[in-house]
Amino acid sequence: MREFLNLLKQDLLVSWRNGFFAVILLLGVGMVLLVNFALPEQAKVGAAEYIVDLTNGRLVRSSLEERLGADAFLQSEAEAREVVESKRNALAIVFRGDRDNPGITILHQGNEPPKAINALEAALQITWLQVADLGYQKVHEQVILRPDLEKPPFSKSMLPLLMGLEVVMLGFAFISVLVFQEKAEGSIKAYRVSPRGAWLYIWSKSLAMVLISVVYALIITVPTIGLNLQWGSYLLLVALTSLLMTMLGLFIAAWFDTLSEFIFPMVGVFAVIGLPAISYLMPSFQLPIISAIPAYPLMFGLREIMFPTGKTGFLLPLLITLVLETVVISLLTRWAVEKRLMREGY
Amino acid sequence: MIKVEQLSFAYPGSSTKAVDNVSFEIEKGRIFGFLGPSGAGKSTVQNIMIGLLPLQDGKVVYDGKPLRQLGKSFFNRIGVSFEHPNIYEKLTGLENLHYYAGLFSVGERLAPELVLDMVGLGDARNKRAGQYSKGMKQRLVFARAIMHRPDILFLDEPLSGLDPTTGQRIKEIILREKERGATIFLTTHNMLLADEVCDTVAFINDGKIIAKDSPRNLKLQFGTRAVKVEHRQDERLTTETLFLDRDEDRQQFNRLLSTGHVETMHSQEATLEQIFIKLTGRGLS
Repeated sequence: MREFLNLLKQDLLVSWRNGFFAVILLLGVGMVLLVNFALPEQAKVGAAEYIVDLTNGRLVRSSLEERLGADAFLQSEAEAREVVESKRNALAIVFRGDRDNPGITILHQGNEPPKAINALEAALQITWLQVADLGYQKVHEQVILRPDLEKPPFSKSMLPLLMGLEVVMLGFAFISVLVFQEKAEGSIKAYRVSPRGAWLYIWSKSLAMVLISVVYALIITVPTIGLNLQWGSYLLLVALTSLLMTMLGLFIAAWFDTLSEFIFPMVGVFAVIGLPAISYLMPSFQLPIISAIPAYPLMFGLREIMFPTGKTGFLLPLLITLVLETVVISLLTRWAVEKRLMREGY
Repeated sequence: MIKVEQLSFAYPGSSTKAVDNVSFEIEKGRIFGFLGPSGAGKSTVQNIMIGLLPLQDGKVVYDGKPLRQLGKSFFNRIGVSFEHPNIYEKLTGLENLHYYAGLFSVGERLAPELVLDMVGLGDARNKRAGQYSKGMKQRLVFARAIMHRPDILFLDEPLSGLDPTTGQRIKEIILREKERGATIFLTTHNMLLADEVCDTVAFINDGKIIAKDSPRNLKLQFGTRAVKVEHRQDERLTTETLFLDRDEDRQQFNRLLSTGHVETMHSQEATLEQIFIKLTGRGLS
């Protein structure tokens, strides 16, 4: 234990001297400013809809203006075409005709999912029945299984996404810097002729990176979310994800000689790590392979912890998955470190 | 006792052996000098002996126990001073030593502050190692190797980059380590150092040992028994080289000694460097 603490202390000291703590402080403060002051509290994610009401008697506008706001209404189809062409996320619906002989045109980009357009068509049928007073009768009811909780502001709801990505990337990037630094200085060579083996090397470095990630998470969380949080689950989730990604970083870095050689694989890993962000922004985008990426459980786990929806039994499977993944990666990392770092390179 | 038997090693992808059938023994408490030019195979032998390179052919035995059977605790018994300084440049000299001190499980060790004083880095202990000169880094690596009082020291070019005064200080420490009972494997191409401190030296060239004996015996074997004498006769200074194996010269030498006119006298045995050149046709640098 004494040897481990000695090693951990040294890894933290080198991290400090490398400026890792300054980096997380700057990033953290930037993130807090972004969430608390730069991002809006309300924002719509998805298509921006515009209406052109050319019906006799302006049936649609009189019925929907209060709900949609005056800004949603355009004056002509030509204006609608111009808006849709200039705004990539815009679509417009043009109503014309009268009660008995309506005509509806949807102007859209063409890249929207067909399901979304089908749903819009169905909704327009109902809307027309309502606005034209053609005897629409509501036959459905909505049941929300979770407690009807207040939705978090948009700015705060982005926190699990931003934080999740950075926590996993930091551990991955920082440990590779440490490894390549030791390779360049040759200090790894001196460690090889000590009685301490690969496990101690891996765990001291990994734990140092986990501590840095936890500090980073705290720097962001306390000023944005406050102290009212399930701290145990929160810290466990951040620490486990960081540990997993740190070990993955060490596993990959062990096979390369210099940081410049490692840059391309690192960019590749970061691109993959970023994929769960799509699922976070578009919950309907769910692929099993994406949910296996460590950033996924972290993002959704953090969201559930920060803004509980009452989902039960959600966190435990996430944590178990992370633990299992960490066990597998740690065994692979030990093999790589023993083979590539603990022996003289040929 | 360290026994190296018929050690051979080839790097993967290379058709030639970096080390070819090398054998030697080192008695406990002795200094064994391993001499040869760069690329001769010195570091490869050392790396195999300390387990950093795999044992391909041959045996390395420490006190009757093969290297393969020695566990990680073996590293508590050895200290390694590398040729190229390998230290944490972001840490100070003292922090470097505190860190390495914590890696070894040994009963007795020198305090990092003391060992820094011993190698002349006491005043620079709180300076970052990255700001040290090459010689200072070399001394820090040397200090790290001796700090945990190992039974066996592997010293690779310990005087590299050192000025004569500091080199003398390190030489004295090496001899004190020997007096303490440490066995020392000294890899160098510095023949003067080897001549001064080694009990036995082995010349290695192209991976093979080409000669092995005490420096004195090597000099006797490969040198000539001659004396260069300066003497004054009739106010005139004369220099003569006398070969002691020739009767005539021996008589002249005795005559000069008995007359008391001798002013300077130097034995003319070959240096280790000259012997190496004689054996291999190449120099050590």
